[in-house]
Amino acid sequence: MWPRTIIITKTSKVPALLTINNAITQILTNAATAKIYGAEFDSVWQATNALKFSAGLEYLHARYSNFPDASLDVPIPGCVCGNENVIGNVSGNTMIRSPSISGNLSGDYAWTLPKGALDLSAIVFATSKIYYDVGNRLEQPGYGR
Amino acid sequence: MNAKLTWRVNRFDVSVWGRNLTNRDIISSILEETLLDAATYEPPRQVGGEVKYRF
Repeated sequence: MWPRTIIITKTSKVPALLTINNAITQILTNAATAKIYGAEFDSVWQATNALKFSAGLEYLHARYSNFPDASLDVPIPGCVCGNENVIGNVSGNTMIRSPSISGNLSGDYAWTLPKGALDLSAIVFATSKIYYDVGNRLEQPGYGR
Repeated sequence: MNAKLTWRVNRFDVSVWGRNLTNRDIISSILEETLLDAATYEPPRQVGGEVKYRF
């Protein structure tokens, strides 16, 4: 099992949707600074000549450390009539598409047959919550599958 | 869970496979827009097969 660690502090580009000339346009905005670090462990266990297991686990800390002027779409209060664009401070929020914990487990079994070979493999993946916006309003809850 | 069973014989690989076998509803992306938040989901449970021949 070999840990791999990343420690990065950097400027981060963030996609934002704005209405320009009545057309919804995706632009890249600049999150002033972000801090990312984490560790990843991968392992392989050859249980028998025919049976092999693999596992991976990742911890990721990814936060906007200074992002005071983020473009946010938030629901208009008091009605179900869409969003309004506001500028907000999202410093400290989790970065988009950056689950804190994720992992996978797979197994592979191989049979030698009188004619050819048979191989059965399966993999399951699990992740903690994933945000899809810098305001951390839109999320996919954690899941395993 | 994804799974695949493959029979390798001579130059052929014959496989059956399944993806998202637990049939979870999983959001793959969400776009924030003025009128709404638009979510895209990953495909539901899929099963299939394939035959490969190596020349």
